[in-house]
Order: sequence, then structure tokens, then C-alpha cells
Amino acid sequence: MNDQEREKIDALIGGFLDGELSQRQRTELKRLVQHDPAVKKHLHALYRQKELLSSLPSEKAPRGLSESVRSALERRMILDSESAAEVRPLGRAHLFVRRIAAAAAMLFIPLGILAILVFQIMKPAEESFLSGGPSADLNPSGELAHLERGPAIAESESAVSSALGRLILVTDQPIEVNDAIKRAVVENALLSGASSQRSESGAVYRIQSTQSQMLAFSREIGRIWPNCSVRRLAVSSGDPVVSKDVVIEGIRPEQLTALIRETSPLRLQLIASSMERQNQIDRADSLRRIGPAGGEAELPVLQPVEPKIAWDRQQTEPSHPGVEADFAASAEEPQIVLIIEVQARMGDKQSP
Amino acid sequence: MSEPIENKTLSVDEEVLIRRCQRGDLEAMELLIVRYQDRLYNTILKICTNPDDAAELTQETFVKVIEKIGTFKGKSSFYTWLYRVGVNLTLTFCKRRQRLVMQSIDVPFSKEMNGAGAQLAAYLSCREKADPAVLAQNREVQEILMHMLGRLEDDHRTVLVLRDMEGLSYDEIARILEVELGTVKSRISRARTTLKELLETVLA
Repeated sequence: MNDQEREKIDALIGGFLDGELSQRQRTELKRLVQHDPAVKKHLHALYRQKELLSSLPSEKAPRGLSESVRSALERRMILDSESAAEVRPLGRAHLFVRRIAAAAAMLFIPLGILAILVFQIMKPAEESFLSGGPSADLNPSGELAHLERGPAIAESESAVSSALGRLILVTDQPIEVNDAIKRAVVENALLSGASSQRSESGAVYRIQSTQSQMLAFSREIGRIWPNCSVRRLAVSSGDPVVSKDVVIEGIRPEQLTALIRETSPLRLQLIASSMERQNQIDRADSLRRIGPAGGEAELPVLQPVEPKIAWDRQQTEPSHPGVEADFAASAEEPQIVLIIEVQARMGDKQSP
Repeated sequence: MSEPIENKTLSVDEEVLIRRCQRGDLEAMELLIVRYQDRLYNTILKICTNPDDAAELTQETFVKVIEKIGTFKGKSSFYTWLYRVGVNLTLTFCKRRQRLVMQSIDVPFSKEMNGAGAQLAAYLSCREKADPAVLAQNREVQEILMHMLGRLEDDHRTVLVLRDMEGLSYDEIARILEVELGTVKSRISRARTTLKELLETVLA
């Protein structure tokens, strides 16, 4: 028997063992087996070998595999986001836009801030940063029209934007913090996508922008971190039915930047939950170092304070709870939404 | 106390799980892992023949797949996609390992294994009627078979594992390995014959 014949017989036997032979091929194999005892022996041995292999017991995966997968994903994503932050150079166009924006800001910030303050005094319930823009449209009852629009607006918004989450800043210097946020809005040309709300306990901002604008904005507001005793980010799950938000206590500016860079919802959740755990460990470490008799003042346990003005109505809306102001969204570029809630510590007054 | 995750997997459809996972749902990700971890680990273990390496490769496979889950369009089944990633990673690992370690061709059977070897030889040569399911439970028989499988070429071992142990169809194997159907058939055929010859030589 030459190699070619042998290969042909092996192919027939293989097909037979796997139930893949046609009637003609079966007849051919049957003839071969009847006339050649070696072929018959070979067929029987291969049949038994296959039976034995398929009977080998299955091994179970090691316990805790899903946990180790999750940890590996978190480690890798954090490394990715850190290296991206280090390597990514600023584009020439971006630098040009920033220079223009900075020059414009030098001219208009004083006027802008003054105008905003005057505007807020005149209209305490709700306002957009963009005077005369879509979110400042008034309905006949004198309230903001976008709050009345309900689901249609929410649906169109979710198609073009993704919610990053809700950043809660508790401070005993509310005026400085609010001013810094407004300045960052103006300097980063975010007026058309920003709106704010004032309440007795503080102010709520809704910032909607492209990723690059949001990154620039987050770098600016990183400066107010030392003024805030509580910095908490509730990262949106993207699916209010099946998932809970991840709450990162003591979020750091670089962590906020890393989260803004992330475009995949799953990666966003993984990074956020990793940051949440990391910050917990850091807090426990620092408490251990300070000890019970440490000199650091005890931070008050603050409950999230819901702004009262026009808030109840928004909670009936089906999309993400929060400030659902409308915006001038760009249809081409995906948008990120960040809600910032500034809360004054007890006893302080603030005005957004 | 939370509900055991295994029970949840029975009621949750794969497509729903994948969509939830794509939207960033960590619980769905965990359910997907739990659903496939044993089968994937078992296959990888049979190909790479080392439990520690198999655990690491299984983890790496899930990490890769979950990182890319946003790009999964459902053109093939999730299972095929997962296997393709896992098998490719394992084969790459095996090639790298081969370059580093020359595998011993000595027969590592101890005296205690002689009995199992004789049993196995009798079974394969059809001299003895034996229940393959019972024989396959014998730890020493398993070790002999796995050692011999380890001596096959990687490509041959892979198709034998996928076909004879995992019971995948020719078509599924072709999609996982990204080769022609004819290639799968001829590889399986050659792999079976080579394994038989190896076993005959060792057990003679």
C-alpha cells in the first residue's frame, strides 16, 4: 500500500468515525474492510481510540476565574489609560483653538461672569449659560421650556451622548468653587452645552461637550479639588435597569480625566470600580497612618442634598435622573455629559 | 446572600448577556465567564497539557474577548469567537514554549503505570472488551493519553481535542482555526493515525 492509498483509506475511516461518509464512500470502505484485515484492524483501533478520548473526564476551571479576569481587565485598562494620558500629544489644531479660546476668554471673562451673575440674580430657578439659547426658552408660565418637553428630548439626547456621571463637590468655599467651574466653562467654549441650576444647598451644573473639550474642562476644574472636602463621582452604568452606578469616593483629578478618556461603557465601569476599590484602600491606609488620635479633622458624613428648585419634575423623566436641560448638540461628534453638584457645607451660603 | 451565579445563567439568554456586557454591565460579564469557563479551560488544558498555563491562558482569553466585546457583531456565535481567541492564544503559547523547552521523548511511565499501559494496549488492540468510560476514569490511563497527545504536533493535537474530546463539527473547527474544511478533515485523519502509532510504539 503506497502513501496515497493509505491517505485515502485514512480519510475514509476518518469520515466513517465522524459520520460524514456518503453511501458510495461507505460501500467503498466496507469493501476495503472485507478484503483487507489490516484495514479492518486499523479501523477498529481508531474507533476505540476515539471512544476513549471522548470519554476522558472534563476538568473544571480554577475557582475565582471571573474575579481574576476582572482584576486583570482593571489593571490593564488603568495602565492603558495612564499611558494614553502620558503619550497623547496635543494636536496643532487643538493648540490653535486653545490659544484663540484663551484670548477670547481674556476679553470676555469679566463681562461674562458679570452677565451670568446678573442673569442668575434675575432668574433664580433655572438658567442656561447661553443667554437666548435653546435652554433659555421660556414657556408661557415663565418656566424653562426644556423641562416640559419630557421623553422626546431625553430619547434624542441619549442617541448622541453618553452620561459620564454625577460629580458631587462639597466645599466651605462655594463662591470660589462655583466661579472656577464657570470660568472653566467659558474658557473651554462650553457655553452652548452647559446649564446650571441653583438650590438652597448649592448649585448643579450640567456640562455637555465633546471628549476633548471635556478633558480640557476637567483639567481646569482639577484646581478646585483642594477647596472641596468631599469629591464623589457616581459613574453612570449606562443602563438604569440592570446595573448600579459605581460611586468613587475621593475621586482625584487624574482619575476623572482617565474616565473621560474612556469610550467603552464596559471599560468605563471596570475602571470606575477599580478606582472605587483603590480609593477605599488608600483611605483605609491613611486612616491607619493617622490613627484614632490623629490631628486631621474628622470629615462630616454628608448626605446628598437634592436641589429643590424644579427637581421633582425632572425625576419623572424616563432617562437619567438629573438636570435634563437641552443643548446644542453636534450630530457628528459623540457627546459626554457630566453633572456637577456643588454643595455648600452647613452654615455656608453660596450662589452659582 | 446573593443567588448562586450558576442558577442565573440558566435563565439568561446569551444574546441578552452580550448586549448587556457591551453596555458596560459587569454582572453580565461575570455571567458570560461563568457560562463558558469550564469548557474553555478544559479545551485549553488538553491542548497545552499544563494546568497552570491553561488557567493563565483561559484568563487571558476572557480578558481579550471582553476588551473587544464592543466589536462583536454576532456574525458567528459567541462561543466560536471565544474559542477562536482561546485556541489561537494557546497555539501561540505552545510554539513559544517549544522553542524554549525541548520536550522529552522518553516515556515517563512508572512501574505502577505498567498495569494501566497493559490495559490500554489490550483495549486499543481489541484484545479485550472494556468500557471506555470506565477505562478513561483511570488516572494512569489519562496520564498516558495526555502525554501521548502532548507528543503530537500542535495543529494535530488541537483538532483532536476539538473533534474527539469537545465534539465540535468540522465546520465549527474550520471557523475556529480559520482553515479550509478539507484541511480540517485531513488534519484529523492524520492526527488520529499518528496518535495510534505513538500509542502502539509505547505500549508494545
